[in-house]
Amino acid sequence: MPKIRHARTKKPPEGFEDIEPTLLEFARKMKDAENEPHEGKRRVESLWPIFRLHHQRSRYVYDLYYKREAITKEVYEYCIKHGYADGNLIAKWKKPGFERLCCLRCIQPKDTNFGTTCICRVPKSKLEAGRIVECVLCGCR
Amino acid sequence: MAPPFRPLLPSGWTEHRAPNGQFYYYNAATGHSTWERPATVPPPPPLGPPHMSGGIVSHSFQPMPTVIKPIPDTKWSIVFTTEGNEFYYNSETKQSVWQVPEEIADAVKSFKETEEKNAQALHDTAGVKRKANDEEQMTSEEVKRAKGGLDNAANEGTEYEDIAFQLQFMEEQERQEQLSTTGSGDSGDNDNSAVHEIGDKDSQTQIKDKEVELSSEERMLMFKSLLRDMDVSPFAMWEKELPRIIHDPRYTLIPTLKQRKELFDEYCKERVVEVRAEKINKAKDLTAKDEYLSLLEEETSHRSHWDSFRKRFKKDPRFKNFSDDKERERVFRKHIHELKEVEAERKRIQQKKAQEDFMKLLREMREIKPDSSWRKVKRLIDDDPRYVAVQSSSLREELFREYCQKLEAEDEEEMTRKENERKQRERKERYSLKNREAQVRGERRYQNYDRNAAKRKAMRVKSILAFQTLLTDLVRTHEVTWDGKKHSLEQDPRFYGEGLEDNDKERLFNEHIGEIYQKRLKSYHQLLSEHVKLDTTWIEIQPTIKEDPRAVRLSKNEALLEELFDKYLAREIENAKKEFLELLKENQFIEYRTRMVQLSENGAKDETGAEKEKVRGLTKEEIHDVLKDDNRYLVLSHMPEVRDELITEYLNNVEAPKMTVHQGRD
Ligand SMILES: [Zn+2]
Ligand SMILES: [Zn+2]
Repeated sequence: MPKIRHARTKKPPEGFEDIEPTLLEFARKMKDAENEPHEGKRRVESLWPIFRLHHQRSRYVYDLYYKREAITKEVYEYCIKHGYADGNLIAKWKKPGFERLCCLRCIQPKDTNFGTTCICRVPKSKLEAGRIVECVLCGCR
Repeated sequence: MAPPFRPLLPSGWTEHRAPNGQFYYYNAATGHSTWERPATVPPPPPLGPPHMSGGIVSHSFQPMPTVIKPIPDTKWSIVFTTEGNEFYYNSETKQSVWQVPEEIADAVKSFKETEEKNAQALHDTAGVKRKANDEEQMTSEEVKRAKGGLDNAANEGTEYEDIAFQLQFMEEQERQEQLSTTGSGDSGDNDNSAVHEIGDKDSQTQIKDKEVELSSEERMLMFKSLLRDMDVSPFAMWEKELPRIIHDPRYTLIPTLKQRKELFDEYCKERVVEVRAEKINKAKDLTAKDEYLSLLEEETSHRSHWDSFRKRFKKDPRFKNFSDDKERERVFRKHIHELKEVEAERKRIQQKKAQEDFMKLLREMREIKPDSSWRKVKRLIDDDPRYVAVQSSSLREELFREYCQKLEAEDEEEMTRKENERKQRERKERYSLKNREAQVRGERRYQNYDRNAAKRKAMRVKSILAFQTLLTDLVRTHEVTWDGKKHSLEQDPRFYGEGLEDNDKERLFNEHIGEIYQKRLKSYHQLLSEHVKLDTTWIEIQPTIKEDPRAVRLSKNEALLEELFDKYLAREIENAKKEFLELLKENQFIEYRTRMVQLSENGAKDETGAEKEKVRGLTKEEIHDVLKDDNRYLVLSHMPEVRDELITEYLNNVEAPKMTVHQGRD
């Protein structure tokens, strides 16, 4: 989980100031989520809020650049470089079938019990009816 | 998705399955989720409050067409949403409200009445519509709860994000489901096409010329206008903006959250272009204004006029690039006004300075007196530039009068000051005279005191002498006391010498008898020395001396005399011993012989050689022989045993230390 650094060595590109308040808010929430006590929760569960924020933040930057065209390439790259968005996750979103991928872990075969990708990647139609689906990796389901 | 036997959900609510398989219910509009299935509400009161349309259209009811009907003679239209709600839309102000605006209440009423009539004729679809309406309305209580939930969502930041995150995947699920059931088509258009179908059917069967169905384009435009009205930033986070727009009727014009999000992105894309342009224009305007201001700075003075300025510079880019003529004139006037103020201030300062300088000039003219005439003074100074600098002649005269008054005041002040000084000086003088007198008095007093002391001292000495002669005359024995003798002494006038205190007299008396005693003791000792040998006893001597006046005068007390005799004899013996030891020390012969004996006994050679064999210790007799003619030896003849003891002691003393010296030398 990349940390946001405020002591930037290089001055951020022009236009970064438009999105900085939202990014700072994300950073604050991420910190809160990391410091959240996790008594009474399964270990995996305590990580879910962090995965969500991570996803949401990357999505925000992704949308700004590709959908809203509201930020420049420089600002976009600056965000990736400084950990405001997950470049690898975004790269996946650009591929067909992965447009809404929750996180990178859920497509890592070795991370699951069965050597396959996470259950959350299986289309509902392919699942047995009434089966309980739970993504334990990031909690997206 | 919902099992068929379950009752329908109220509008806005959707059913979902939690990771553990349990169903839960979610209202996308309010952000509220619950495990308990929301109850289907009974038919609502007429004109019930708006319900918050959910993000996901429930599949369990038939979507209604979105229809807009202009209300005759007003700017307003009534909009029937896909979910069977209605709201009012002002085409001019772009305002949307759930409640009937008061200004069109009557119009709406009559409009509805005609609608009602029409509706009776249109049985089928109207029935469906009412049914849907009944099912979807919420009670006012329900609305409150929903709104509460919404407020919470807005306050607690994480909630709406969780919702959005969930929603995103729920929609994904939805899409997949649709794909698997219909096997074709894009989910985004699915709802729309359904609406269109029904809408088409509606228009075929019932829609009159006044009644227009909102096209999907129009609905999208209205949704975007909502975002614009709320001034949603193109850099905003969608999830965060949701609570702000959810209350607005236009929100419900778009059936799914996914579509709303897409429209939001689209809106942002358009808006960001505008924002950029605005920014650039603003910057341009700012530079244009800067340049116009610099033009004003360079080319105007406080005397400039708008018309001539405009004529002169209307072709200058710095002039024509800035705003319009109205604004140019406004800025020009403001600028000139400022210049005028600056100029006025400058003049004020200048005048003040001129007046001050003029006053200085007057002061330099020493000959001006408080009663000087301005006419005369004027002639003296009218060629000075400081005179000229004050332009008004009346002001010059006024300043002159002012100066004269000041002079007068100063003169008066000077006089009072001098008067005060004089008074002070006098006071000071008086004070110092008094001081001197006191000093002289003090000195005299001191001198008197001195003289008296000397006198008293002389008197006292005289008195002491007189008293002492009195004592000599009257006190001839030491065997009297002050108290016993005082009375007889008091008979003599010399007792009352001036300056003598009683204790002085007692002290002098004691000194006097002390002297007598010492004299007599001395005489007694003399007497004893004439008769006493060292072995004399009191009994032997007592008869001899008892008649002697030197003993009698000291004391008639025999015991006392004996005591004094013992003391005398003890001292004499001590002296005799000391003197005899001196005698022994003085006689080196004894020491020499003693050493020789020691050396020969140790077998050491003597430098004299010849007497080697003869060396032996001196006998006691020999020592006595050597000493016998000395008086100090003779004195002790009365105590020969003491004398022998002393000799032995002496010899031991001589031997011991010298032995060590000799041994050390070998
Ligand atoms: Zn995941
Ligand atoms: Zn997963």
